[in-house]
Amino acid sequence: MAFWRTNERAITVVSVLAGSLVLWELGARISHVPQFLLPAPSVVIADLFKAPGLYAINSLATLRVTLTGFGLAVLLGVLLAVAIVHSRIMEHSLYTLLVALNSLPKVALAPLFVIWLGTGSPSKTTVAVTIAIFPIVIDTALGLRSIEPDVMNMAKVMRASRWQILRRIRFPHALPAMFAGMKVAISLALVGTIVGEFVAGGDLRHCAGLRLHHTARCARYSSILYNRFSRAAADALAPFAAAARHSR
Amino acid sequence: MTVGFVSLSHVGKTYASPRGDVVALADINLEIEPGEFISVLGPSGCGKSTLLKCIGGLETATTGDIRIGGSPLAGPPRDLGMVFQTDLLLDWLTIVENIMITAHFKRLNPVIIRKKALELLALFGLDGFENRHPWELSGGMRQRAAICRALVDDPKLLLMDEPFGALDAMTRDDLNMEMQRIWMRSPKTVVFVTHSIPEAVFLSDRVVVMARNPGRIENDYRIDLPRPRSLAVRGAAEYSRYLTEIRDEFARLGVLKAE
Ligand SMILES: Nc1ncnc2c1ncn2[C@@H]1O[C@H](COP(=O)(O)OP(=O)(O)O)[C@@H](O)[C@H]1O
Ligand SMILES: [Mg+2]
Repeated sequence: MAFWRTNERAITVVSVLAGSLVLWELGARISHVPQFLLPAPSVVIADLFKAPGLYAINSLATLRVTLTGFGLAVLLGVLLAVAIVHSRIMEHSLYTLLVALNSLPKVALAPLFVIWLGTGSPSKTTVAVTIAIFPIVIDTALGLRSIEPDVMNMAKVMRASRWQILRRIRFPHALPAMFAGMKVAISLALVGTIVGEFVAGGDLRHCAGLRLHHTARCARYSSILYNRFSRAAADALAPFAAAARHSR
Repeated sequence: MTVGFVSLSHVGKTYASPRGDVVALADINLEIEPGEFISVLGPSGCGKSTLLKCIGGLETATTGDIRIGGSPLAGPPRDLGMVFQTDLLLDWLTIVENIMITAHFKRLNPVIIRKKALELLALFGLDGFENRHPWELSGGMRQRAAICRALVDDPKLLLMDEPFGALDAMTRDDLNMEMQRIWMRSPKTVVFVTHSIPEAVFLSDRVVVMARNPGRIENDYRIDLPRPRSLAVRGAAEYSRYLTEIRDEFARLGVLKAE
């Protein structure tokens, strides 16, 4: 009982994931859908173990670009949010620009980045950053801004500088909102990376996205599903990673 | 007329709002002696908070002149402490860290201020709670901590905007007693905003009565009750006379219905 109470959330997540795998496996076996349309998880896993090194290298390359993109998005996003909150001009110009940029399909920008930056990881990282940065800027700016007016009055009575208010009030106050933004951004960074890999290809041996593209052409759907699956797993884990970091 | 430690002459404040100008204060004249405990009493919307914000340098008066210690006001003066209706404690800091924020912001010696903070917490019966977080404390304890935060660098002027307005009656009585004790221990000029007549009379040397539309001072009562005042003073005939007098004034102003 005590074990259930302390691990309630983890147990729920694991059982839901395991349950859907079982359902999928059963569905694939019982129905007569051809295997190339819907392979059972067991087939996907077996396929994975046929060339584990290949998938591992590809996944690692994707992971590296995703994390780099995510890290840069956090860094740049927080800086932009601080600028937006501290300057009326920045708010009007940057904010408007960001909202306008966000309404563009960034997938369509990917080929442009490849032309500018080549087919290596810089172009893929850039795609990841442009997609992931938006929720970070929006959520962080919201968190930095939503200070009770009387808290600001109190700080003014204590003759606090803008920097002190940022460091000791705005920033800690914005942390939960920042984490919410980061939670969304980490999966967007992965989407961006995969999109970058679709378009850039390039480094032939080392990217999950290209492997996805390549195997799709060869109708190796089981490989695609592995890729989809690792993506879903990353999504499922992201909230925990964020929560773990947040709960001191 | 003597010029007080806090001196307001012909002070007016008009807010520009989308629905036109709001005259929050009109022709306020007020001299406050050093070390005086003065309450500002009035119905909501009569400009009490605005008056306090103007004295604290948080709002600039539209007209007139505000001086503190003889010098004209430009932003919040040094030696100012302020207590608001809500405690405004920062949730991610402990109680003592919340008080230390005064030292950080005012660039004071943290060692000295920390010592002072612990002393004050003990004085308010909060010893043992210094390392707790605000959410672990009751409303009354939180507001006590907020008062400690305002007092920790021993300001000459303390502005309090309905500090006990959100507390239950018993906690409020407690805090009134503690407020008096602290003030008698190290007298400082206090401007205390409230809409409770008994609270104002109990605490103050002087009670200023305000009315609204436009916000203005209608009357000024000197409360000559010996100190220290115990809660039993509320049974005294003198005390009741002040209450009746002020209540009648509000009735005359149409704020309270006359019986
Ligand atoms: N920032 C503001 N902008 C516009 N009007 C305001 C502002 N602050 C207060 N007022 C108006 O000024 C008047 C006095 O307000 P306030 O000083 O808060 O009164 P009190 O504290 O006595 O309740 C009210 O009519 C209020 O609506
Ligand atoms: Mg008010």
